[in-house]
Amino acid sequence: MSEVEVHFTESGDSVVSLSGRQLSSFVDPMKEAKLWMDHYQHLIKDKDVIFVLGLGSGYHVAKLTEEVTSKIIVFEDIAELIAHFKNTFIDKKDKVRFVPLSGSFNEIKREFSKGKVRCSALTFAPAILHNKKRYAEIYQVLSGRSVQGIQAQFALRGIDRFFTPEGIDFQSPGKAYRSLAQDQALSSRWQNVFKMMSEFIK
Amino acid sequence: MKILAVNFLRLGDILMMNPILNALKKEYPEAQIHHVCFKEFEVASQVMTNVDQWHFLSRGQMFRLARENQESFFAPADEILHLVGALNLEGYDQVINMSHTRFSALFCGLIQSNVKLGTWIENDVLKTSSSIFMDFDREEKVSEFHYLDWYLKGFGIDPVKIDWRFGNEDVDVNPDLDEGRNLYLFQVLTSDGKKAWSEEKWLNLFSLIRRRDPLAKMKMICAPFEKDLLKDISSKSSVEVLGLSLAEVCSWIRKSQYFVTLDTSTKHLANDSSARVIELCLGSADFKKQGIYKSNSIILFSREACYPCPHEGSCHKVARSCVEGIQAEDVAQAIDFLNGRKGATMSCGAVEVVREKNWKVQPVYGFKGEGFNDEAEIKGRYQEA
Repeated sequence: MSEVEVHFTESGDSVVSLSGRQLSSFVDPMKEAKLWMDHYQHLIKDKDVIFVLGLGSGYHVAKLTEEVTSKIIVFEDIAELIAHFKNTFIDKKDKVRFVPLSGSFNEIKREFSKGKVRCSALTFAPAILHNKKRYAEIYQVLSGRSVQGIQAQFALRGIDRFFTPEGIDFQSPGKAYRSLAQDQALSSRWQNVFKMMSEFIK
Repeated sequence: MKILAVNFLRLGDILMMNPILNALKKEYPEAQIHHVCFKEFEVASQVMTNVDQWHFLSRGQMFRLARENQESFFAPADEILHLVGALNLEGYDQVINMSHTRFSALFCGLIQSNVKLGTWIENDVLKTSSSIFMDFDREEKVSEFHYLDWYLKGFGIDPVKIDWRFGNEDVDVNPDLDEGRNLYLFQVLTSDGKKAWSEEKWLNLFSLIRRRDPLAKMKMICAPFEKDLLKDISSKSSVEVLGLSLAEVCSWIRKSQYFVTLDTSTKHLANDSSARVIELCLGSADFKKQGIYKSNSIILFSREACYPCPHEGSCHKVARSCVEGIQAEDVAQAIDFLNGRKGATMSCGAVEVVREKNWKVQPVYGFKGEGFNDEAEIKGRYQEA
């Protein structure tokens, strides 16, 4: 049983801890949220959906709702944290959709099936430490920068029988796109797109 | 009727294709012409008003998405597919590829249309609308055509009838020219360092022109964000710097008598003017492929064996010897030549552009006679000097 406790900063902001671990700054959570937002600024432009991994005290999610009009989906298991967010940020609660970690893949797939493939995955480190492994799996699917991630990305696009070429080098995107472009298991449309990418990043 | 023009090259190459779009507009006056290019060259829309709608793919964003570990590996591919999806919804009757890259041929392969012109790749096979498009540079074989002629021929457009007109409205520029004074414009900066001329040579040229034409009005032109780069040379030479939009550049060139330029996008704007153009081709600037297209123009180029060098990579020499190959005096003599006067032999290669059926150049041979330093003649022309 998780033990969520609500605390208050000196300036009166409501913050939470989980089993004694702080899920956000206990000094200035708003400043922390602003810094987080600045760090991810380049990942939030022109996106259909933004997936946030970890809710914590919720200040970063609240800040995100002020910055973008894209759909925001937060992966979070702990009901008390979700309730805390809804009580603390009453005017923002309708701008965010909460999904438990177990339903994350289906949720991503649902968005992809609507054609909303332009998405970002933003992680809030203090809020994912309690379930790091599961969050890492979700991140892998969304970033697609691993063999499993590539396969998951194709599965999300309805291409299930795809085999990632051996020796694909994700540190060298040009080479990685080139080896995907040569894969005969892919449709010519996908081959063309990966060829374009390999031409682009030589 | 809807036509999509595809051009994934740089700004100059986009502007160079303006006559093709003018020809399409003339042939199909009711047609809607759409143009897709890299977002970074959006500025072309200022002067290419023959295009009804522009579509963009951001080159910078694609690079960032591909290289940024926090972004999805699929993100740049999704950007391409997003654009392709949007374009396919437009339902184009004709797709015309005006860039000779594999990237654009693959892109055209993804666009649905009954008629495709140029090159495109489908199921790994390169397809062309005309056999001339197979005549591209590969290994030791070099195509003879100027790129514009190559496309004109490939698309079946008569080169004699081409219309360079850029459709921007003339911006009200005031060069403040008294009767009989000449306006000289200089394009000193280029985005590719290999094509640049040295500051020293530009300064020599400015002082040489001042000696020969004491009442000359001289201005250096550049983009507004480049103005600071020319501060130094401007203070040394007292030649004013104009930070201009593309539409303003058009208007200024139209008002000028002489335009001395490197291989940059602005030289293509000069094709829609009566200005006498002197183009300096250095480094990878290959005038045979994309030189100035109008008559009344001289192209000066280096006689170095390595000219023109490949676009990729930096100069393999310790100092760029092609820069040394063209002197300020050569430019001054090219101006003389365009004025029908004779001068001494040039130290660099020099060709004159001839517009007959196609674009052609003919050598400007060492012409001898009185030089521009003829003091008596200068005094005769400018009593007040």
